[in-house]
Amino acid sequence: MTIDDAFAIAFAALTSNKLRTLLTMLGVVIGVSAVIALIAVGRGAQQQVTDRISGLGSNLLFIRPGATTTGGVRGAAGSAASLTLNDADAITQEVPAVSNVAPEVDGTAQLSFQGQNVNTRVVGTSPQYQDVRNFHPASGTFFTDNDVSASTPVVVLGANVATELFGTIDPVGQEIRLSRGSAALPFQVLGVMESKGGTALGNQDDQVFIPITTLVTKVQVARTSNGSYEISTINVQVANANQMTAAENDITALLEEEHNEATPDFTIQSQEDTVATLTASTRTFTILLGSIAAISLIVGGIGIMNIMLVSVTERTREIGIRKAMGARRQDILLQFLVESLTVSVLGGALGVALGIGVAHVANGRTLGTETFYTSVGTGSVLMAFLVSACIGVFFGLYPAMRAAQLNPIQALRYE
Amino acid sequence: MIITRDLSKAYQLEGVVVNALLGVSLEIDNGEFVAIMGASGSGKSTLMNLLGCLDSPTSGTYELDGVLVNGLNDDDLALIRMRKVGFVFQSYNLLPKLPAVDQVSLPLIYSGTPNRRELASEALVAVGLGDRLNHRPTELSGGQQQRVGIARALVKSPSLILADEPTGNLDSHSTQEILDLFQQLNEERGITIVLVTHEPDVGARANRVITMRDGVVISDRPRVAVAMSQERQP
Repeated sequence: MTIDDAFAIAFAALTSNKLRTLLTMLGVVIGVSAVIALIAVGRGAQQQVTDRISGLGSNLLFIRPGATTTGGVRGAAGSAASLTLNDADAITQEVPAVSNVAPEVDGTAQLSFQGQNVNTRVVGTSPQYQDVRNFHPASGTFFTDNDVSASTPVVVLGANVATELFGTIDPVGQEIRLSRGSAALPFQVLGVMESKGGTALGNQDDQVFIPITTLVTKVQVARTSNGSYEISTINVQVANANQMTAAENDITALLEEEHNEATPDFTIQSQEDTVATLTASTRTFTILLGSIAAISLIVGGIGIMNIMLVSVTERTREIGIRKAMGARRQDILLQFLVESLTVSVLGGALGVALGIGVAHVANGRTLGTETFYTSVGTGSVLMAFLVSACIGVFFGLYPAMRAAQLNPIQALRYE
Repeated sequence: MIITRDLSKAYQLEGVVVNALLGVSLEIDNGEFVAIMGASGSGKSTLMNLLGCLDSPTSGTYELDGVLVNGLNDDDLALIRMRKVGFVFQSYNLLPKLPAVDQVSLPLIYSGTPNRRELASEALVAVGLGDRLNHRPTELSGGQQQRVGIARALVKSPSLILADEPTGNLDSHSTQEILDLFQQLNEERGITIVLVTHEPDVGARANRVITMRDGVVISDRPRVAVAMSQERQP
């Protein structure tokens, strides 16, 4: 028997019971399309994260205090235990590869305006933050270097904060109160930032910006033992992408010298590192989604096996006739294997089409508060298709073997 | 040429050993038309299955056209069925839904013969169904269905056609037509025909009648002798 004959027989058998064939196929269609669509969602999320982090700016280094000081455990008296404003100044002056330095201190405070109030994140920084993070005011202005050196009580609001606090009133030029603990200070609103939406690092629109000096001297005082101010991050932008490594090495050397600690009390993370970390976690998420979908593919395979077993039983007499006519075991095996393979491969092809279609339709749709972005990868399509073919062979093998091993005399007598 | 020596077959039926065949020795020459007769349970169907290479004997030897058949594995038996043996069944055993020409070309699928349709059409013409090539079993009468079955046995030019109660489901008119067809194939093409039946008038059309009882051959006579013994009986 040639493979053409096997396909012709399989086709005739499958078309003679169309509804059953379609329902069996449906299991594989759903499995394959679920795998493709869910992996597309995972990949979309991954791409989204990568894009947003890239959107923070380019050629960035983030310097943060080392683990030795974050638990509140200080080193010996007189040593610089964490990052300070002085470190930021030193980097600006001594590392030539660096184009912008924006020190950052994060805190929380309550803002109030005419009875409205909102708790929000307060970022103390310098005007360079705008260029480093590629984040600019949509209306009004950001504060200036003069505001930083004079510790002026001025504030730039994030888009969401402005809406919550002011509604339809134009916030620029208004005075709000910023309170933390028992202290409450009047601040003048200079501007409102453009809307950037959420990232894996938090929602950029739910924060306000004030000069870093204002924050550390008036709102949230945190002096170190040598009189400088403790800060949470130094955002550094390097002028040229190929100077990233050099800049990182220079900064490390400089800070180690300044801090004079046995072990480094800070970490430098590049943008690429951040992307890599987050990509790794979203990849796990993608794999998880894919695995869940793969379960439905296996269920589809079991459906094929079930129907093939029924089909072999129903066609026992036919198998007996074929054997009497001279069909060998391998002929019967091939006939039934080709049949299950046809179901699974056709189901796989339909599933690929459906999966791509679903991913396409879901792209950019909002469900609740989440917006889906999908990205169909050729790898996942190819894999899902191949797996569906393998499932046809794997789950078809046992019924086909049962058919091949039937005794011709008993099969001919079967009613 | 069929030669069997002490051919025996025992089955295990729910733990009980059933001796269906007890030492049958036969020689059937090429071109003979033989009827095997006997009551049900006499072992004639078991003998038929062994002669048709559907089954292997428990003991004894079976030689078909010079090939020793016993001891061959399932696939080798299938090859012998494919090349040498055509089966005709009481219940026709056609595949449902398939047109006649496809029914007849079925054995040729397994032998890998080219121009299957032509050969199948020729076989159908030979059994007088040249105008029913594309009819499905449900569109044919019993006699016609059995003709399709005979065409299917005939199509691969077998040396042996085994027919198990081929007229058991047919009326007397169709029975005569089918028997005429067997006789014609036997006389014109020289095909050996072994026909199992329990109807004496069907057996009477054969040139030789082998009668069985309880797994052994109790008589083996040419037709003339059978006819004479029947005339003496009344």
